[in-house]
Amino acid sequence: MKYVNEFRNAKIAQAVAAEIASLADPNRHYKIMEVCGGHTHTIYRHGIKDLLPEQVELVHGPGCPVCVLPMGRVDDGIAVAERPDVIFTCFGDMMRVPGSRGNLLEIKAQGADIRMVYSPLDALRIARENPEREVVFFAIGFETTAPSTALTLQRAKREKINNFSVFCNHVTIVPPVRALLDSPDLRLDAFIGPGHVSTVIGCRPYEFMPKDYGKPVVVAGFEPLDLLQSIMMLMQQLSDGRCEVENQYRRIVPWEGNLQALKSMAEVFELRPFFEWRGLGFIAQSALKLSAGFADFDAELRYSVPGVRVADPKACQCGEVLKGVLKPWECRVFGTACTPEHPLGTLMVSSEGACAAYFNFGRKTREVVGAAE
Amino acid sequence: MTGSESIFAGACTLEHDGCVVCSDSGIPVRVVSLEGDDAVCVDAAGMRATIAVEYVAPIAVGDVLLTHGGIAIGKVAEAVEEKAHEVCQ
Repeated sequence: MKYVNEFRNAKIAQAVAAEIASLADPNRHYKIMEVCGGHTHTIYRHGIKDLLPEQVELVHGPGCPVCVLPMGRVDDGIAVAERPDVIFTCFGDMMRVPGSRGNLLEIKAQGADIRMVYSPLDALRIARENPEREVVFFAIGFETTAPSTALTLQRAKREKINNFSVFCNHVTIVPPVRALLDSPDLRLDAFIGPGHVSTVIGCRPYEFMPKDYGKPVVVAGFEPLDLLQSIMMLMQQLSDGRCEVENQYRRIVPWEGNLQALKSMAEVFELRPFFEWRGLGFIAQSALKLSAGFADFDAELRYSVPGVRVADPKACQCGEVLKGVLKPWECRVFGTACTPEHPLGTLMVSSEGACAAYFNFGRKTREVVGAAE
Repeated sequence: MTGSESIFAGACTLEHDGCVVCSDSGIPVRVVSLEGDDAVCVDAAGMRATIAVEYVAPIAVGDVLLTHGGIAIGKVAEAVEEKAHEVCQ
């Protein structure tokens, strides 16, 4: 297939990797953070790390909404799901995220009516088909997913489907990146920007990163050559002494984003004053709640939720991994007490989590050996 | 749509999309028919789904869209071949 060959062409990849190597100063160490979990998986699935020179280190960022959701919010969702009058709907990845009393899959096994959906529009259809029941959708995700919740709520309002509500856990990408940049224990040289979030928000929101923090950003696609080209573009910026936002993923990402989706989100959501992120703590204006115009659809107002803050298991070091301070295999429970089958931390639960990527693509053995040496 | 178009916009299909809540799992699909605010779309594996298309209107049969969570968030049909070459140069 023509484009398969082009976007995964080994010869081109090697040529780009050689260019990256030639741009790297042998006396300097480069730390580049990929914000997206999807990028992390491309990097390990295709062995991109092995193509890079030693002095270029890739650091995995907090770009997985499941991974950054604190345990207390899972407990809140479970409290709603356990109500006998409720059909609780959520995406598949949420089902296995542990709360303090188990996960949604276990609560479902105990009799709760919890259904996995692919889209919030599926949850709205369930509400339409079950007017005698209350249907709640567990909304989670960055700005790529938030538009689907916004659109669903606008349709629910238009159709007056009053037995539908949303437990909103949507988060925004820029505040945690800013928190990372402010973090004293992390030194980063550049960022690979999230591709599909940027389809919605565009590239302009990242302009503060070069302007205020002196860090270049390249918004990247998800094929191996996309990532290699993005790393090359960042290395060129660092080599030239330039510092700006560039868009490698121009074939998908408009600079201004999707204005129709942004307008819809502005109508349906408003920023929470603060929100807790696993590993990063409370971050101001980093999450969305339903606006006053959609308060009737807000599950947090419709039902009482515990709202209790729950600490992560002591052995779990997801926080340090999320901040890029630790590599997944450096966590003391990685691959032992915490595996994809029996996860302790969310980074091992989500298919986009950095720990799952390391575990599934065999990075553990080599790097543990490397570390031991 | 063809596999080549799929890889151009991402490797996900409607059946296998990685983590749906993740910001990265955009699924490329081609519009087969229009039904009001929705469109029947087909992915690279030949699977069909009804996708909400308000955010990318106006669209036409044959357009390639990037979808996430059952809605279209972007149009990716324009100048596919030219841009693909540009990326790989």
